[in-house]
Amino acid sequence: MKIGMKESRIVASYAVMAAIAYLLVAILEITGVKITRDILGGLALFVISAIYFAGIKETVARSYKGISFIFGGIILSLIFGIMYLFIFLAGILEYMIGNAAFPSIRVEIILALLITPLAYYLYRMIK
Amino acid sequence: MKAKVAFIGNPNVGKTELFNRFTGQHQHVGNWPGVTVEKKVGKCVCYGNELEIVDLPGTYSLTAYSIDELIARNFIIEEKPDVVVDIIDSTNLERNLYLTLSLLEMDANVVVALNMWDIARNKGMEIDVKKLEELLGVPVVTTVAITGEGIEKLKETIVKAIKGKRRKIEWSYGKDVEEVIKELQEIISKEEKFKDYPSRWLAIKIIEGDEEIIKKIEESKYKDELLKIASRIKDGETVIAERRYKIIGKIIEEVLKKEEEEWSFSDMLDHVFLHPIFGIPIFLALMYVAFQFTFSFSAPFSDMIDTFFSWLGEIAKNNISNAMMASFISDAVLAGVGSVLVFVPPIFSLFFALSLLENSGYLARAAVVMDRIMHKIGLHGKSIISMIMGFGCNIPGILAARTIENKRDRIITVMINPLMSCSARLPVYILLAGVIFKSSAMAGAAVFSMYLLGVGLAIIMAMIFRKFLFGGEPPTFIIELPRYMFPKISNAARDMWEKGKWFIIKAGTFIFLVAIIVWFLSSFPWEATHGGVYIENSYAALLGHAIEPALRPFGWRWQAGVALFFGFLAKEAIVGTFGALAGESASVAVATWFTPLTGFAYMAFVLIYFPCVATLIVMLREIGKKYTLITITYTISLAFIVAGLIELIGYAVGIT
Amino acid sequence: MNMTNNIIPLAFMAPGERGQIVEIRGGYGMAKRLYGMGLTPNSVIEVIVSNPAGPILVNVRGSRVAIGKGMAMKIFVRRI
Ligand SMILES: Nc1nc2c(ncn2[C@@H]2O[C@H](COP(=O)(O)OP(=O)(O)O)[C@@H](O)[C@H]2O)c(=O)[nH]1
Repeated sequence: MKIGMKESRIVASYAVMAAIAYLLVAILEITGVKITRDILGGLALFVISAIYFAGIKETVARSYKGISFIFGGIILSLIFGIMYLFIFLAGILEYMIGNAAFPSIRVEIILALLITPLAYYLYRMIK
Repeated sequence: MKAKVAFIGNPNVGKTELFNRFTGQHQHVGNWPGVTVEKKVGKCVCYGNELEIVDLPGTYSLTAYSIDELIARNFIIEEKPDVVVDIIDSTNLERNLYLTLSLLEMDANVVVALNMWDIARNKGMEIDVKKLEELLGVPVVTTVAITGEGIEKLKETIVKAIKGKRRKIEWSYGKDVEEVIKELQEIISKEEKFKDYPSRWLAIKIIEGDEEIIKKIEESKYKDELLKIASRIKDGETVIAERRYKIIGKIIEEVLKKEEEEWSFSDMLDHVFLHPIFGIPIFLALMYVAFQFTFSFSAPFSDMIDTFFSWLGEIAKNNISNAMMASFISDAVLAGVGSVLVFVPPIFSLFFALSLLENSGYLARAAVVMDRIMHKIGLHGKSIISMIMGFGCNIPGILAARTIENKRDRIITVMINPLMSCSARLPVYILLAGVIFKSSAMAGAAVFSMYLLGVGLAIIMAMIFRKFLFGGEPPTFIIELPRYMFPKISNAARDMWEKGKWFIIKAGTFIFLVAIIVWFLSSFPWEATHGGVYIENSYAALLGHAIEPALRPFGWRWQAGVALFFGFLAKEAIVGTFGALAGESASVAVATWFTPLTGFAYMAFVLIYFPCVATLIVMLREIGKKYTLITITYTISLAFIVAGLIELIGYAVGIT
Repeated sequence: MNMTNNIIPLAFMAPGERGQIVEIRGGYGMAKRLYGMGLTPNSVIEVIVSNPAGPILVNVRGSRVAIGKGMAMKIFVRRI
């Protein structure tokens, strides 16, 4: 099975950006530079980044195998985003009761938001 | 009118969902006589009929191969239910009809429920239901268990079928086989002993060489004759299976108008999630998500409950004039039970996360991904499912081990399950880590390390058991992977409630009792303790001091001993006991009982020292007395060893 | 049994390959287990995922079944 030339390029370039973004955030989280240190969380982002990277070559080659990786990466991005979103919401609740300061937004939530256009595009493409 | 109805179907067809729809809260879980397979029975009143619904184990076929299949089959033959509802995954007729045909051969009064009809519809599949009814000779109803669509129709059909008699349709297994079947049937009809069995079914089973049936045959005087005729079909087992699928092929050709393969999403995801390199990191990442969710998401809710109970305690202290009553309400009831209820949020969150993992279809993949590693340490791929469930509660974890075919693998999996840190132990970690470590990051790491320690010890113990108790076995691994599905939040929420409510119930009953007992022990003799002020003079202290010698080497106070004593029954009782012993400001008091090192060792001890009583009972049923005893022995000794090692190493490197 | 080049253990098939089961050389129990799950002689299977590190995932009669390497060595398949 082959996918369109144009589509594969769009997906691949988006995936490259995603992979780099996740890699950068992963490094920041692991080293604790600029954001709160979270080694395990950083490693998880590193895995997501690697999955995006792994899919790029074959996506350019217009193979469904490559798309599979991008697809898997997206799913993980969304799972992480949603999980931190829930924690964020719970944090707001705690803030409203007056038990804690207003929670900070985890980068993972923003990354997941940035991924959604790709998710939608890919979904339309496979459907 | 009363009627007995059995539900049967392949695994993952939505049988549980449908069963719940029918029976609601009126369920009763017991055991099949003599075996340890769960038996679920429910009641449902439909159109003036009282239906007793029995949920048979999920099976692919009705051979005598596994205990589950045997139970289902014997139930149908011996108990003769009025109606057997065969639940089928509409998107996978071919595999599912195999069981249907076996049921029809047994002369069961079958009603077919074509479940997951919504998925079939979305995929653009067109199934000719009328035609299927005609070919099978039984009523067929389409259902969507998760929304309730078609349930009424199914109820109606079942009620109608109670009285109705189905048309009997026989498919030909081919000329050679049919000849043999006919000859066998002739002899069978002569034998009194076989009167209860449908003769055609019995004939087919003889050809298949079914162990149970052959045993029955051997009691008959016609045994040689029967076996001789049956032996004309070489490798009957295979021939029958193959021909049965051929018949199914023909049926499908007629009823399935349009089929669209829509596995693409699932297959694509499996390329990544089952990938040789990424599979395990993804597994770990998802576990991380589950635990992060459990702890971080639930924390604010726990704080709220905590605040609420301290507030209640204040009110009680200030408004009740009778000193004994005030002490009872605030120290026993509020401090004891409240200290346990604080842990409802993390426990519910954990069950929610586990439900999502399971219902999305990922848990089965985890078994595949982990199979190789699990084999290295002497376990089975499916053990990972049991272990993950064990983080919620050891009992479902132990029950999950049943899907492991090999008995030795199953026993080892069950034996190490108590080392999976169940949610009841979580309160102890959170309470202790929270008070003995200064920074919350340290406390978090300490809690997490308990889970790692449990898994690490489980691995070591599994290797030891494999080496010394059981020899090696050829690996057999086979598991059906359900389609990935977007899990329904409402389902997960219901699951969470169903599995989590025991915790609330326990807090209200058992923990309540323990709290009262502990309060009594610690405030009486009332005069001597000055109403619970000088606990040193109380009965509890007496008990604690009796246990203390065993714990002194670890530097634990007698209070810790009393808590361990009640923890034998259920680990939640440990925190409840702390609460009742220390009064409403448990954390302050507990902080004085432990140093970081002794507290950490105590956490490890609580993790390991004894499976709770409920777990033991289940274990006894699942693996028998001998291995349960071994489990008790190894957990107690391991607890002392590990806690001792932690303290020794701690002192050696200068931590106190 | 004739071991022509075309008949190989399932374990050796590559992703995307299709084949027809020729023989299952397992014990009694193993065959039974496989039959119920749809793996009988003459059934057509397609390998979805196969890698050195674990069970092999196949499509058989419309469902996805993961089979351990040990078992997959005993299922003989003719490539098609
Ligand atoms: N879309 C859809 N999903 C269903 C239906 N029935 C059950 N499910 C889902 O299928 C999964 C397996 O159902 P379950 O009742 O646990 O299956 P069992 O193994 O047969 O008891 C669960 O995630 C259910 O929510 C249905 O009719 N349609």
